[in-house]
Amino acid sequence: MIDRTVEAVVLAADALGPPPGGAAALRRRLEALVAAGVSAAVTTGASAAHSGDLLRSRPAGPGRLLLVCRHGGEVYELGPRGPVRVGRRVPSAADDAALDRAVTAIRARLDGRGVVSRRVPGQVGRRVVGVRWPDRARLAGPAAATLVRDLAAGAVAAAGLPDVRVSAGATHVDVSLADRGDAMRDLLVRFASRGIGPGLVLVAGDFAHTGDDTALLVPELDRAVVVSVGAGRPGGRARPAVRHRPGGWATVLALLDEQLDRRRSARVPCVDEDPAWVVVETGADRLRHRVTETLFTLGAGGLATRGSVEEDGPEAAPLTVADGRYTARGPAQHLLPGPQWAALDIDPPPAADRRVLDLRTGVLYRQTGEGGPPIRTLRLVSADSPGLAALCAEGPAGRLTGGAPLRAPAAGPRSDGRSWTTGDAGGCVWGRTADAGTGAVITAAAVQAEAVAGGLRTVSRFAVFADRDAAGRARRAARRGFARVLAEHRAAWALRWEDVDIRIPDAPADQLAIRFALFHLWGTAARHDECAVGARGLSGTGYGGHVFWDADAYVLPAVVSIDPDAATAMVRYRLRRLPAARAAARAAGRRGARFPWESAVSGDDVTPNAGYLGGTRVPIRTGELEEHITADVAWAAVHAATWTGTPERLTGEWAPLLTETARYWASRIRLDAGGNAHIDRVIGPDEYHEDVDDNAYTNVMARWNLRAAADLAAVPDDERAGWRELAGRLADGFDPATGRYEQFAGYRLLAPLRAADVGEPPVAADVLLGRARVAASQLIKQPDVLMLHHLVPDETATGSLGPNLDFYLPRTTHGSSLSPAVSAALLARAGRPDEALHLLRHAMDLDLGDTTGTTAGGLHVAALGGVWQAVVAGFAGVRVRGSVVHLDPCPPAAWPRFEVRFRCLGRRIRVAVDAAAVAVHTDAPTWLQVGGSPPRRCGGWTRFPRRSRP
Amino acid sequence: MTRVLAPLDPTSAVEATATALARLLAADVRHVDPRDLAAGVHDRDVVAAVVSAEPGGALAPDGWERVAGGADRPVAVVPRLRRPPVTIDRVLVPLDGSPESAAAAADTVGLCAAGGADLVVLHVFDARTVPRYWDQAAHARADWEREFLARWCAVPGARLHLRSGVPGEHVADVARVEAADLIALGWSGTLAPGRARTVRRTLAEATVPVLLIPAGLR
Repeated sequence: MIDRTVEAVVLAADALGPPPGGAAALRRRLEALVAAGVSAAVTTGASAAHSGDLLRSRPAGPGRLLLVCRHGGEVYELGPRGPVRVGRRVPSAADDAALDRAVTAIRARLDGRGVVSRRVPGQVGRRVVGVRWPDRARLAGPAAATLVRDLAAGAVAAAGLPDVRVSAGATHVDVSLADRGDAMRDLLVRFASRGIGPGLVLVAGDFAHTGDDTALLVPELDRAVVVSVGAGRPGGRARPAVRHRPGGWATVLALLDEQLDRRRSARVPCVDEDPAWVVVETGADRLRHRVTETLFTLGAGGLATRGSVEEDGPEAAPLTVADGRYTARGPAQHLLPGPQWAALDIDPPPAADRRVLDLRTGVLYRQTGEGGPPIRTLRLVSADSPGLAALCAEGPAGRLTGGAPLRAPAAGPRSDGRSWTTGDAGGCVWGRTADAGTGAVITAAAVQAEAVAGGLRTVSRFAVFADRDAAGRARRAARRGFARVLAEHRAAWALRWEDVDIRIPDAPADQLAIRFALFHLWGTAARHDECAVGARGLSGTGYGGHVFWDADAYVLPAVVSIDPDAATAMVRYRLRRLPAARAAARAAGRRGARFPWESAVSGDDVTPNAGYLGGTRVPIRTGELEEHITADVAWAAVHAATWTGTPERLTGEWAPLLTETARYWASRIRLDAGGNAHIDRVIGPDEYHEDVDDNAYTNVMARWNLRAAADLAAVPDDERAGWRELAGRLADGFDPATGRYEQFAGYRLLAPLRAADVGEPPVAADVLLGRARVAASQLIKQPDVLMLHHLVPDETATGSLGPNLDFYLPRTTHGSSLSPAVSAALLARAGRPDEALHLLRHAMDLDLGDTTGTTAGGLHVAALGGVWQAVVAGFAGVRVRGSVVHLDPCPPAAWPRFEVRFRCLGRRIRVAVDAAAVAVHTDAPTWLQVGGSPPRRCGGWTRFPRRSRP
Repeated sequence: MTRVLAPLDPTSAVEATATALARLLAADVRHVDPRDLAAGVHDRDVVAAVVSAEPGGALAPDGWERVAGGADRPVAVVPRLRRPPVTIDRVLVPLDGSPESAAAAADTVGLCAAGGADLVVLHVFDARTVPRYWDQAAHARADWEREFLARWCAVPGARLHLRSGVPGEHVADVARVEAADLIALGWSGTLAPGRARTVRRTLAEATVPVLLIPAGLR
């Protein structure tokens, strides 16, 4: 019939009339589809009371069955306990007045053409005008209906009633505040809430010529499958295209049977290739294969799998890893590769393919394309059921087989003590990787089903990664079936995107790149108990999964507005490693806790002691000197508590993160003879300059750390007073005359090189020029002083952002992938949004365009976090102070309208910005301060005028 | 049978290079009149030719430029050598990270690897090829190197030698440091002004034969 699996079905019943023989056959099919996860809707102009046998449906989910009555005036959901009204349009007095004015205008217009009309008793929110032509000959044919509709629409427009919708036939005019098109749009919104885009919708009805139901065919159905089952040929609408399959209700039932058959035979579902949501790779560029694997990583619940192709091949680096499961020791410690669950045997291997990552639903789809019957696969890592991964495949039986559902890991450095064991029991295969040294284990169990029919082999595989009951869960997932697992997964993703999203109608490429960042932030920081976010997340072997300050200063501030519980889990990762941090401080002869530059399973420092700048082997001193991370960890805890509206954590469970770090700084600071406080011999965020004294970033962050602990911690008064005293004495390099901070003592004396002298930023100047030359210059790798304005603006001098941007940005090479996005956020805050967008696009393209040749090793997760920070804190200007959300949007010219959705203070917040206003929606009363206006407690939508910025 | 073309009455260095190269490429040495080298290099069974770098000498009366410049096969240009090679055990392959240079070298590199030679790939970061980002020196090279080799020289066992600066300044030096017996260098086939700077400099400084591989060769 349509040779495609859809996830939602809309049946337009009006023009078809009642099903011959009753609705039982239709009802049975709809209930079966709903049980398989399909959403279905029947639209009718009748009231619920007159909707007949369909009301007797009692489907059980996970799909939904909707009855749309009165052209969308009322919507009922049919469930196991009967129909429940889930939507109703209630007209206001103004609405009724508008409808009456419309009827009057229409009748006058018809009267002027000699057409007799009368008002028919209508329904709530709707008016009907009956039409009688004086010349009976003119009643027939679509021309009459067109004429009536044109007359009515013209009358309504002339009356200045833009909200009134008109549909008409030859004998009547239907006047409402929402027409059938709105009813369809409402359905599409409801489907979208289940993760079903228009491209996965089948619409069936009689859409011949100008029949009433054609009004359902809104342009938003462009990618949908629309089938007209009436005898007459469908009209010539350009969008959406309508297929003609005459046969009435018999054809409708056949269409539904086809969908049931496709599910019964485990055919591979489809994806909605909405350009706003998909990243597509054709596989033609073999050099991008490993890059694509990284980009197409699927992650949820602390489990992630690279988007490798299913078959073995020299250009594949498949990898599945689990958050926090490490192997090996010391600096060589890296994430333990887990069992491979997504491999298939394909012989010969595909020579060409098309792969689609659907960000909206979190699935990876593939279709081979070398001619002949294609191989199609679809996989997911469940957002609904942590640890569950599922794969569905189909292809020629002689070419495709499922093979072993779990296989030994292939990628990742080898280490002593790593083992792979596998076996089967009770129809379930299990596999386990383990490291005898660290005790890390990744266990998976998988159930696989294969079938061959008509030369087509289908494979369904359900793998569960869990320490307990993996086999039981895999069996239960297999019993639910792929369609249901997929439906639940899609719905979970839909909930995420409902709360957190970006919409930029005029910049679709930016919108997609930002959604890509959100997608992978969800996939990376996905545990709610304890979450270790490595520099490359869970998407590759790069950086061994080691956790840097990237996690605290770049990823957490993004994640806290996406998934607050995951941000809390990131803080918990640090909290549980306090013993190691205390030991590190003791070993250095200090008090309190000193967090490691690179951290893995235990919290001991795993920073290597040597590395390379390009080809030059260099000693690595970050582990020894890049101490600001200790303050960054404390800052992340405070930031998370502030954004989640849980300040009590800072005096409770998380208090040691503040007190112990403050104690470290108190013991680390040197007082000179004049009583001034200094921190000697550190590396700041700008790693071009090592072993410097009084790095502004380190000192001001330490000062902030001391003051924050003094304000919050339950410690003796003398210790608290001591911290305040020290904080006040700390040198920060600020020069009131210039408004600038000196990055470290002596920086101003260095050779005044600018980034443009080296090349067009971003550029790794240290690789090009060598360590000594950049160290002797004022070139900087990434924001250092400016990072203070980003993280702790209240600790910087008022009005100092501009002078420091003017001075340091031209000296910034952006040779760190952390740099462009945060610089963009700062530029936006400084009222320079177009420059900000230019830099942000470097960050957005870093992985999507593999602009630095290392994406194959994993995503640059801090850059992804920086992108979201630049949107929320930069262009939308969001800050949280106490219980107040401050907003001060400053969008670039290329974004004349945008909407950002995020979470903070336990609320779901939407900010819609255009040239005139800032509209803010909160799901519960919230204190808002927009621009310079006084704080207001607002709920629902509130509009604020945009303030003009200097 | 495939052949390595070499001039008659060769010097010991050219003859030694031809013999060693033939052994590496599983070929025979065919000697021809030096004046016929430029034409003979196009013969179907010829996999490479060997010519002296000595300007205007009897072994390359037309100059190596004329032989190599018109060749559609690799041509080994042999400088004055203190110790002619007996075997070619290690080959240095400079690659600039462009598809063109990798494609030019691919077949020859494959033959060298099949012949058992160690492959050392040289990449020199210059203003054109330097990465945008080098995040953490403790880790950045591993990712970058793995992907560079996977893209441009996916031969098992190949190693990468990285330098920064002007490529021509490094090739001969790295060949010395790595004790390479042969440098396999892609080139455009022209010595027009402003072109082939790396080739000129390498030939001027190399102490091992330089196998010039014409761009577009497959």
